[in-house]
Parts: sequence; C-alpha cells; structure tokens
Amino acid sequence: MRVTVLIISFVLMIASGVIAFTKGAIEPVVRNIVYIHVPASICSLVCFGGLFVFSIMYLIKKKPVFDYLGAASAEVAFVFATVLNITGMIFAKAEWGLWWTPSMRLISSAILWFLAAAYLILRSSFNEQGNKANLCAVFGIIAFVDVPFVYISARLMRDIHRPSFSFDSSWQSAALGLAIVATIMLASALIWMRADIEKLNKRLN
Amino acid sequence: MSNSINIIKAIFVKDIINELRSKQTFASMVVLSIIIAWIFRLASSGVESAMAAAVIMVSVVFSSILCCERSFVVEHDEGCIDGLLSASADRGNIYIGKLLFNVTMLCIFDCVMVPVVCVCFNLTPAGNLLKLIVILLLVNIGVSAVGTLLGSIVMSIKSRSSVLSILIMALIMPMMIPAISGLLMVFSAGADGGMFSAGQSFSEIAGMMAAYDAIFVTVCWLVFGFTVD
Amino acid sequence: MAEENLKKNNSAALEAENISKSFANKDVLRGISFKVEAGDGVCVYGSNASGKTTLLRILAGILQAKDGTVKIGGWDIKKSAEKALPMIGVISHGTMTYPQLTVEENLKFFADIYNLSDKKERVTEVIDEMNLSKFRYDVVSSLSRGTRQRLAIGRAVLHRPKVILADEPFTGLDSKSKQKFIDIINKFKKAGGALVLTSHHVELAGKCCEKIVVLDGGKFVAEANIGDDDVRRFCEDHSTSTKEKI
Repeated sequence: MRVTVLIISFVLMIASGVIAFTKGAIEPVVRNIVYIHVPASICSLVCFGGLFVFSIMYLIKKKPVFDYLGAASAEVAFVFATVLNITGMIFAKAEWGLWWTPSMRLISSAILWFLAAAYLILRSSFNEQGNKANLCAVFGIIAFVDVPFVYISARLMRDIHRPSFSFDSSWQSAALGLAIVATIMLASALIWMRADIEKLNKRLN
Repeated sequence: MSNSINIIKAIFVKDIINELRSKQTFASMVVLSIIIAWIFRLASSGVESAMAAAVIMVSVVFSSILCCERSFVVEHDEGCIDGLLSASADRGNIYIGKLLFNVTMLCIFDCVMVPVVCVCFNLTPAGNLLKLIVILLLVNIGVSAVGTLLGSIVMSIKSRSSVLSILIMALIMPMMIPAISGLLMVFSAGADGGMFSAGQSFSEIAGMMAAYDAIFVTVCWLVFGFTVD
Repeated sequence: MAEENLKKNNSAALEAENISKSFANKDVLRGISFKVEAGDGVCVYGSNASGKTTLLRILAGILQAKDGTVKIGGWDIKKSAEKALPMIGVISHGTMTYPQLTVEENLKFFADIYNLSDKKERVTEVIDEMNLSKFRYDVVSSLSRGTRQRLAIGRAVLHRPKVILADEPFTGLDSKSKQKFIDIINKFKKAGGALVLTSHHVELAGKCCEKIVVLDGGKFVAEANIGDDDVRRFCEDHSTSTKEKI
C-alpha cells in the first residue's frame, strides 16, 4: 500500500516536472525552484500537524504506534524544513543578492527548522527509555502550539519575500498543484515507512 | 480550590527559602549576565540600544535556563518529587508553584541585570520605565512557562543542561521578536529599529506577548502531569 | 452512604489488582495482584529490574498503572485520589527532604502539602516521636545518615497514614539505625498500620513483615509466609544465582 503511494507520488512529481519545464517554465530559470520550495513549505507544516495529532493521540491512548508515527513525522518535517530553507536561500541569493536576512518568512521557516531539530535532539538524548515517549509527545505538542506564534510574531519584521507568485499561465498553477499533492503523498509514505522501521527496531531490541 | 492555593503557596515559599539559604542559582544568574553584558560591550562603540536589547534578552534566556533546571534538580536530588506526587493528585499545582518561583526569580534578577546593562551601554530608559517593566514581566512569564515544563522534561536526561538550552531557545523564538522590537522602542524612545516594519504600536506588541504567555501557561499546565508520570 | 462507609471500613488496607505497567513500550509489570490487611507487613522480593520499585511507585500514586486498580482502604487511587493518597506514607532510599531546609521546615512543608488541620502540633509530635527535638532547627544537610532516615520516617508518618510503602529502606544504614527503623515500623503496625516494603534482605524484612511476594521479570512468582524454610531456601538460592549471573 505505502509502496503504491510512493510510486504514485513519484509519477505525479515527474508529471509536474515535465509540465513545469515544457509549458510552465518561469523566467529567469532560477525561479523554477519555486516548484520545490512551495511544496516543501506546505509539507513541513503538514508534518508538524501530524506530529501534534500523533502526540496527543499517544498521550490519550498510550499506544506505541502513535509514538512511532510522531517521531517519524518530526523526522520528515525536519527533512522538508531543511529543503525549504536551502531552496529559499538559493532563491534569495539569486533574487536579492543575499543568502539570508531577518525578514518575516525567512525567520518563520528558520524557526520551523529549529523546532524540528530540537525535537530530534530531545528524542536522541535519553539514556534510559523510561517515559521517553511521554516526554517527546509533550514537546511535540508545545512545539506545534509554537508554530502559529512564529507566524504572528514574524509579522513584526519587514517582509522582502513576495507574498505569492503571480502565474502567467494555468500550466504553471497545474505544475505547482501537482507538485504539492505529490510531495504530501511522498511525506505520508515516508512517515509510514519510518514508523514501521521504528516498530521493527523495537521488536529487535 | 483553597487546597490548591495552599499547596502552590507552600511550594513557592519552600523554594524561596531554599534559594535564600543556598543563593546558588541567583549568584550564577547574575554573574553570567554581567559577563554577557561585558562581552557585548567590548564589541560595541558606545550607546547602542539595539545591542542592549539583545544583551537583555540573551541574559534573560540563559538565566532562565539555569533557574528552571535548578528548580527541578532540587526536587530530584533526594527524591522529594516522589513525596510531592504521592501527596497530591493534582500535578498542575506543582507546575504553578514552580512557575511562580521561576517568574519571581527572573523578576528579581532583572532588577540587577537591567541596570548593569544600562550602565554598560550608557542608556537611560527613564521616560519609558513602565513600558520596560511591562515587556520584562511578559518575557519572564513566557520564558518561565516554557522553561518550567521543559525543566521537568529533561530531568531524566544525563546531559540535561545542553538539551534544555536548545529546547528553550527553539520554543522561545516567537517571544524574542516582539520582545526585542519592544525593547528597541523603549531604548530609542519610540524610533523604530531598521529591520522591524514600521507602524507597530506598543500595545500591539504587548498584546502579542500576553497572548503567548496566556496560551503557553495554559497548555504547559495541562500537559505537565505527563512529564512526571 | 452509611453502608458504603461500612464497606470501606471492612476492606483491606491495600488491595492491588492486576497491575500492569510498561516503559518505552516494554512491559515492566504484568498482572500483579495482592492484598495487605491492616496490621500486616508484606515484603516484595525480587532481583534488580524485577519491577519491585515500579510496583511500589504505582501503589504510592507516583506513577500511573497501564492496567489494573489500586485500592487504599477501599478507595480507588485514581478515581478518589483525594481520599486514598492521604492514607499512604512513602519512604525510599532518597530521604525525600530538602537539604537546605531545617528539620522543622521540612515537616511543616509536607504538613502544608497534606493540608493538615493541626500543623504545628503534629509537627512537634512527630519531632518528639522520632527523637529529633535536638535537631529541630538544624538544616538537614548537617545531619547524619541515620538521623536523616528518622526524619524521612517522620515525614512519611506525618499525616497519619494507614499504609507505609518503603522502597529499600535499609540501604546505607548501619545496624543500629536498621534496628531503630524496624522498631518504629513495628510500633506503627501495632497501632493498626499496614506495611509494604521492597528489599532483597529477607532476614531483615522478616523482622517487620509476615508475608513475602516474589516478583521476577515483572511477573508474580509466589506468595508465602516469610518465616517458612522454603522461602529462606528459595531466596538464598535466588540471590546466589543472580550473583553468579552478574
């Protein structure tokens, strides 16, 4: 099942790529990074949402599977937040001539990355298992509660980021839409697989 | 209800007496902040309100890490936390008691640290004293709300100080932005710092911070029980 | 209501039913059940990592069991915690006292936490009972290990509990302090209190317990009278076999 999801997401990604480079190419060429950048930003938020939901489910139901799913969501959120920040920096260098500057969206995506990294550090630093799952779930919840404040408070900063792309053709919107759907499917397949690995890992020990 | 207030008060008073006897936490908080202010002063050329705002926030965050960690180490050293847990069913009371203690510690600490920073950077916040107090109080509550919960989370970790500092700093970021822009308003008497968008009023900033405080105190109070279970 | 109270009065001092607990998705305790009547003492015996400390912490309401119920004097420890918890006194190898506070302040603090109606009188009473009047205004960090243990017992009986739960109370005590502890506990039991203690010192435990519950790997193995020869032989074998393993 999850392999099917993975394959579909790859197919969609290729389709979006083909559309983007044939009919929907944006000038100058570096701007095409938006087809990776925007899906990554949406996806990392979705993964944070997953972390929040699974953490609450774990605290209520105490089923190990939610712990694994939460950990997997955090890892995937970290990966997509990394992609988001790196593509953003490349884009910023090309557009504005600097890698990073304190500005609304740049700050909020950086903090998103910090939060995911902090969760992973917390998770890896327990020497005895104890109530590790509980503690990580608690941190997962407050990390997600943090996210809206990140966006609210970042509004105080001057914004150099453009609010959204104005597309010239519907081909471009289609390519972006496909890319977003494909990335979200990829993320769910990754979370699924990662949680399974965690489960097998536990069984081995 | 009155029972809860009694327990919260007992924990608070006990922690204050404990700190008055050892003075360990407060001393390290103050010395750390003076060293931070001094290092930043070396890199600045005189009156720099922007740097002073940064120094104040850095000092508060680092001191809160010391304070929140100590406040739970005291409980775990001799197993006192077990005594507390077996005595009262409501874990939230322990959180509120510790939170009050940490906020009080940070407020007293601010009374020493802010004058030191003002002397270091030749600043006179006299005209905006009320605004300064409001910002510092809101920061203290927000940082302690998160720090008290995280202090309890890291207790079972061996390298707890380093993990705690990372966790607190990651979570406190949304608080830092309004706090620094508010401090810039205080120190530069209304003029705005370069990277902040113009037109934010002080009350808007304070409201943002108050909302952060309210939500985090509530959420942390609700989930605190899971960290000791 | 009256009928219910009568029922509560007749029920066992402590009743554990089908207790299970898992840490990090690994089972630590599996279906432990036992009962302690008022005036009785039970020793929970087992090797390291057999789950006895976890069991005691669950009985004390410090941890929450995954499954099963604990009833103290007939009150469920989860559902009517405010009734059940004040009937429990806890002693562990940590003294559960604050080193920077004086003996009196420590006891007063816990009297506040338990919200006793006669705080001052009870604190003085406990200080006299435990022979601590000489140290009343001394900070705990300046006291000897034995004195601190007396304070720990005083702290545990401060709120007049019906059940005392002691986790390895003999560790780090000299023989005089051990005897003192046993005397105090036996007095407490004579007054109608119940005792649960964990120890791997069966002989010492035998001086204040009548029954023994053996745990192994989180599972219930046996329950017997502690004086039985079988028990003694079993525990001797057990301790040598675990030593060999190490």
